[in-house]
Amino acid sequence: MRKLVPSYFAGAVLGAIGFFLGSQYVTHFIGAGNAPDGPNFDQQGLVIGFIGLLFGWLLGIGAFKYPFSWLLAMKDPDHEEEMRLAGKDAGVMRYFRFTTDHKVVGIQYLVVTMLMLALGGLGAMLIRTELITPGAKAFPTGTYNTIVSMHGMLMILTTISFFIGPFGNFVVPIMIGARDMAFPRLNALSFALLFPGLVIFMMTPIFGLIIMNGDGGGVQTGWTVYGTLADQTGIGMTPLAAGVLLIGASSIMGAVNLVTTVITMRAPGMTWTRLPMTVWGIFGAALLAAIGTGAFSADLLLILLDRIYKTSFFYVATGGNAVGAGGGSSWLSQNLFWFFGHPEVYLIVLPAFGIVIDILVVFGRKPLFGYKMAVLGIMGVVVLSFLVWAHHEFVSGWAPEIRPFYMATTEMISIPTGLVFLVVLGTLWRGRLWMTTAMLFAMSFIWNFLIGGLTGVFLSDVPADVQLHGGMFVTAHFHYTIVGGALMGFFAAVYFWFPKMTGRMLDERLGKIHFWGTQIGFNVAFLAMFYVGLQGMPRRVADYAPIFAPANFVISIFAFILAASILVFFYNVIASWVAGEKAVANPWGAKSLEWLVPTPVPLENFEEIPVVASGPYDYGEPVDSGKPIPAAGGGSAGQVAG
Amino acid sequence: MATSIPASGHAAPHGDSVDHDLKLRRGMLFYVLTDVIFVIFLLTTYVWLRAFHGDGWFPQGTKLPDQQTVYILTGLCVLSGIFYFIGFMGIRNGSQATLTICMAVATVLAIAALSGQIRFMGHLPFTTGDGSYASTYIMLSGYHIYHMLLGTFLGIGVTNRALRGRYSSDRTSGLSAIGYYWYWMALTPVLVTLMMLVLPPNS
Repeated sequence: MRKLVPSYFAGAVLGAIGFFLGSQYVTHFIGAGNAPDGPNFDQQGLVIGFIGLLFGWLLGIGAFKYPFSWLLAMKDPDHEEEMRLAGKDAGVMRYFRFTTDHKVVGIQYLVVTMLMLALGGLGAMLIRTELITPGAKAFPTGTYNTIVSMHGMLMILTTISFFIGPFGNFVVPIMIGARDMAFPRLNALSFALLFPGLVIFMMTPIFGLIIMNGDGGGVQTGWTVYGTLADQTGIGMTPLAAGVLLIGASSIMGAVNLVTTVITMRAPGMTWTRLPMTVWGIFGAALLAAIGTGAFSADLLLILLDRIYKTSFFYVATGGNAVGAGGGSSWLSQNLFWFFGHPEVYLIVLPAFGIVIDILVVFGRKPLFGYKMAVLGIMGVVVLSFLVWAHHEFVSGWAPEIRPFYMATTEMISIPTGLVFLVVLGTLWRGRLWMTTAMLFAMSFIWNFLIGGLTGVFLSDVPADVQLHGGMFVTAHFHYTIVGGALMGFFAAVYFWFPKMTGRMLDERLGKIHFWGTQIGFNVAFLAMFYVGLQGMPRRVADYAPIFAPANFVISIFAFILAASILVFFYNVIASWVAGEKAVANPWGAKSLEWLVPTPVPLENFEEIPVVASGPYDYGEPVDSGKPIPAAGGGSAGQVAG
Repeated sequence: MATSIPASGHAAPHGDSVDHDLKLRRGMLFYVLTDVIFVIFLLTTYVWLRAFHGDGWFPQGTKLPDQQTVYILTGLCVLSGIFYFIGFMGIRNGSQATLTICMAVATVLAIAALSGQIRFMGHLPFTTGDGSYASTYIMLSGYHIYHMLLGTFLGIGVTNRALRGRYSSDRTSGLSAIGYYWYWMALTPVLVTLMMLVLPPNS
């Protein structure tokens, strides 16, 4: 019993009780007898239920213990107590409770993001099932719209978590020579908020489609949840907005922690110019998350207020009982959303930039070409990404006079991105390439993201965007950016760091099958989508004209191939984790700090904090011991550390 | 990467080589910055709706909240921030008594402002459904209440710890970090009052 309280199991039980009590309290005690033009009590009940769920969950996992000890000025925990909270001697149970060890949190994120990927991917398969032939047959249209909205939102949340969650937590503190994150409890809390956020988010179809309102109760807005639409759509919008709001809070906490960690926790000698590019990429993404997420959080908060309390932020008409008195602005929501929504693409991709560069260096076996250029590229994207959002509103009718400015800034952002590509190509040039699965995925990032980026430059052009905005061309471009950038980067990162994170090697043969299945499935499906987009097929539709049927059939079949290859990946991860080949400390002969510590990584990472004397990319030069880094094969901490 | 990682040795204390004071202050500063950014987006809503308002911004017949009460509540928050600062400077100069008294006063003022604000919100002359001005006012004031709830929690903790002598002239980093939040909490109602009441909302 002592193992179960506090634990995630206890949190789930108390969370369920909290949800029940919260929702029933409003429904039975406050809601009864109120005027019909008062707040919407169905939805208010849901939100109070969500708050009950959150408090029950946090209580059950023991997240309140430290804040209240602090409040009561009790004795500060000593080193031994801190270690117990970090999971010392807790065995496998440390993965199922509120644990402060950054490595455990990283693994927790890895598992949850893969689960999210599976759920989001399932949504994609349902969409392609509907679109495999013309004539909306598979789902009622309201249900189809809900699937599209949830697929979009879930995949965005997944890709945001892809790097900052698993690798930002597991790898970054070790890479900079720290024992943990700056605020380990905040780190654990950040993950602890993600979980109920996802549970609430996944209530969207349960409440929207099953329990309350049937087909019309889901979310009809798409992932952009524009306020004016969101105010009027079914009850499923309420759990979606509340869940994403909570995940946003988790994301901001994670970002604050990561930025503080990189600024204040670097080991002696780990200067800014010696940081591995992975750290730079995740640091840049954390800055974007900290700044941009606030805009989307504000948008979601106002949507909830509009829906429940009939405020007038987004609804423009005057009068009526369904929503507020009017005076709102439909463009306000669009701007709040896209102020987050565009930087969010870079928030997803910047860590992939850094990770891909690191992997190319390790498997290219030569020093990084243009370190400062790469940093300039990443940080240039961070700055410029906040000046481009309105290109998403070229056809909305808002402020047409400023369209040239946003066209120019959007085109300008290809300059720092181009710097990163230059660094990537320069690093590959004349390298002795070791074609592992991680390397293959890193190289596929270059090809796929390049297509996403180049088509983005076309879309930033106002006349082209006006023609293409409502069509499948945009969907294809977006997927080349997110799948081509984030997903390929994620796969590369998993194949690269899996040995360090789990102590096991992923199966390379299955990895190659996964790689080729992914490339063929993805590229054929989405190149065909560019084609139908140029032919004029609109996006966000469940039905389409028969002339698009052959191409859509091809798209669906190759999307299924893509999904099948990702199933191979899941199988590979599970099978290798359970019974894969044991990994040595440094199987790739890499030089950054995480490879110089033993596997499994000790609780505090380093017996003594390392003193860093050179950069992580000095391939081709002898290390302190006088032995060159092996070109391939195994190694150990002792071999590569000075 | 050439490093020095000894093969053996005693386990070092958790987080050695790290300046914990700096870490705490930087972390809180960065958290406050994210909160400031969030408030900026909420204030953007105000500017946007006011700039592009239609009939619904300030419908005819809408009454303003009681300005005198708002100014008193805002004053309490500002005063609380001033006492926090005096207490902080007091312990920096080695005066435990100044710290304890000032933190207690700052916390009591925050609790008074919080209670007053909650009561005031229950007696506003408009509801959430009375147009964009009313919506914006209630939303901004509601967020301020969230600020003060968190601030009150921190204030009680700081006062309690001050009473038990947990701070000294060379142990002020926690106070300093919470201070960043406290000053921001005291500043927010000033911004809200300026924008929602001092600038005539119906002009």
